[in-house]
Amino acid sequence: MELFEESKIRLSFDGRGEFRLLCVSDYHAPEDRDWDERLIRAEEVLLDAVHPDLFMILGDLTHNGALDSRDRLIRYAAAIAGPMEARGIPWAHVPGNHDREEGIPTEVFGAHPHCLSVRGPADLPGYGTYLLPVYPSDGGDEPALLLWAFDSHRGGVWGWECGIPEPWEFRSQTTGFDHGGGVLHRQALWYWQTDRRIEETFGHRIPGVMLMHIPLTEHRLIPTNPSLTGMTGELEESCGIPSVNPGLFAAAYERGDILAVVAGHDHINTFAGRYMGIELSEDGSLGYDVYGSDHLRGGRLLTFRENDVRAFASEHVYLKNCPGAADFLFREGHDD
Amino acid sequence: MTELHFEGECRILLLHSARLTPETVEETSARLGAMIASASPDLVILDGDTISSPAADPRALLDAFLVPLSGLPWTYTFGDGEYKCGTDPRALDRIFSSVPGCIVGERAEGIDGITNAVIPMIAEGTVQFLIRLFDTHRETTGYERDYGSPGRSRLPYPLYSHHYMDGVRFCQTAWFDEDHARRSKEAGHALRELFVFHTPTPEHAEIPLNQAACRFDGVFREDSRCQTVNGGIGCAAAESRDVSAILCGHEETNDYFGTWAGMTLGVLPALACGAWLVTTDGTALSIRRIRN
Repeated sequence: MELFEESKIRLSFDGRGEFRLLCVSDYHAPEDRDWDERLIRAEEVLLDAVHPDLFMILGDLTHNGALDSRDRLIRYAAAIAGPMEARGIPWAHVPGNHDREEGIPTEVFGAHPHCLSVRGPADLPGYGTYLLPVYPSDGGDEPALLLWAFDSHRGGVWGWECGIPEPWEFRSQTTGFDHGGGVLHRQALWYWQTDRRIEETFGHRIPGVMLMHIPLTEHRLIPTNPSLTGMTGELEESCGIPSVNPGLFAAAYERGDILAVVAGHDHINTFAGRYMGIELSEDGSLGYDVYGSDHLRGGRLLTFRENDVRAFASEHVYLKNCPGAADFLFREGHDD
Repeated sequence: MTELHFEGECRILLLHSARLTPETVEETSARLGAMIASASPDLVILDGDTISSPAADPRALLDAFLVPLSGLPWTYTFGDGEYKCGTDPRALDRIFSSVPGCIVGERAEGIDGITNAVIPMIAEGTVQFLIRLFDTHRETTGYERDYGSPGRSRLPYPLYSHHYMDGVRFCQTAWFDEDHARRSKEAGHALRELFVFHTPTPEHAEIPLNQAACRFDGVFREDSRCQTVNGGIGCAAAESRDVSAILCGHEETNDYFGTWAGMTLGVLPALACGAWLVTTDGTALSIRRIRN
C-alpha cells in the first residue's frame, strides 16, 4: 500500500521556506438561499490577507436539511470553492457532525480542481480521514510536514460502531456531554500504524498537525488551565468535546511528532494553548447562518518554517482586522 | 506455562493490593486461604501492588503468601507499588514468574511495561477466551519520563481530583488491537477477552457517576484514582465488541462494577476489604464478592 494517496496538487514549502496553513470552520449553509454572500466575501478577505498555502475547512460546511437537493449542494460547493479556485489556492475539508447528518459525499468538494479532500482508506468509517504530505521547497520526495485530517462523525456513530443499541443513555459526568461524535479509536490506530510505517520508510519521524471538526477531550484542558497552558484567544462557550476518548491524544504524545491539533465545532472559541507539548486550538466560526460572533470570526493560522518546522507560529486571524472586512463584517442585529 | 485448561465455566479469583510485608504476610496469607476455600477458583490473579514497600527478600514473601494455593495456577500483573518498592521491577518480575504454579502467559514484546501478557483459556481443546493483562506502570512521572521533553508540561487533570496517574498507554492499546486481530484471524472467529490491570481507566470513573445508566452495583467510598491521560483502551475494547470486562484495582475501598458500552467495568476492593470471584465462559460473566 502506498504511504500517501496520489494528490492532484503537490503541497510544498514556498520559495521562502514557509508553509502557511489557514484553518476555518462552521459555515453552516443557509436554509433560505443557496449561499450567503457574506461568507464568500469573508473567504476572499481572509485569503487576500493571509495568502495561505492550504485553506482548510474544518467541518460543518452544511447544516441539517439546509441543502435539500444534490443540485443545490453542488451550487453551494461551487460557491464556497470559488474564492480558492479563482486564486489557485489549494484547499481541503473534513466533515463535521452536521455534514454527516446530511451525508455529504466528499466527491462533491473534491471535484473542484484545487480541492484535495479525499475519503481516505476504505476500511475507515466516514467521509474523510486522510493524510496530506507537505514537501520541501527543493522538490525532495521526503515530506517535511504531515497534515492528518480526521472525520469526527456525528452523535451516535460511535455507539453504532460498538454495537450499542440506541438510545445509549450514557452522559459523561466528567466531560459533561452525552455522545456527540468524535474521532473513533479505529482512526487513532490508523494514525499510529501509518505514522510508524512512515518512520520505517524514511528512518525518522516527520512532524505533523491533526485537523478535525469535533475537538479532542484534551482540548478542554486548555481553558481550564489557562495559565499553565499559556492560553491565548477567547473562550465564550464550553468545549463541545466527546464523551468517549479514543486515545488519539495519547497516540500523538507517544509518537512525539504532532505539533498541534486544530478543531472547529465551537463557534465562539478561538483559544490555543499547550498541553504536554502539543498545541490544542479551536478556530471559531466563519459562517453567518448560525450562532457566532462578528467579533471572533476568522481562522487559525499556523506558519511553518522549513528550517525548523517544530518552531511554528500560531495565531487566530480575526476577520475584523483584515483589510476590506469593514464593509460587510457586521450582520444585521447582534451576535447570537 | 502460558495457557490454562479448564472445564465448563472458569472461576477466577481476582485480588489486588496484598501489600506484603514480613510482619503481615502470615495474616494476609490466611486471608487468601479463606478466600480460596470459599471460591474454589481455577485461577488466581494478583492484580498489582502485591509488593509495594521495600522488601529484603521478595521471594520469601511471595512463597509465604502463596502457600494456600497448593498447586493452583496463578498469575499476576504489576501495579504502581511494584515500581515503587525499591526492587528493580525486572528482577521482581523474574522472582514472581519463578514461583511454582505461575502462568506468565504470552508476553508482549517491544511495548511499554513488563507484565503485558495474554493467557489463552482452553476448554474442549480450543481457546474459549483470552485473559489479557496490562502493566499500568508507575503512579507518577513515568509517562512524562518516557516521552517528555523540555517544555512539555505536566498538568493536574481537572476532570478528576487526583494528581497525575499513569495507566494503559496507547502503545499497549495498539498491541491489543493488532494482537487481537491476529489471534481472531488465526482462530477463524472473534475471540472474547477479559482485561485485567491495576490502574482503572477514566471510563471506570464514569460508572459511579452514571449509576442508573451504567447499572452500578457496589460501593463508591473514595474518589477515583484513574489514569490521567486516556490511552484509549476503553474505547478500543468497546469498538472491538469482543471484550467482556475490564477489571481493575488500585483504589483501596471502592468496590463496584457496572456496564459501559456493552462491557462490564469494575474496580475491585483491596485485599484487606475483599476480593472477587469472576465466573465466565468468555461471554457470560458474573461477579461474586468474597468478603473477609
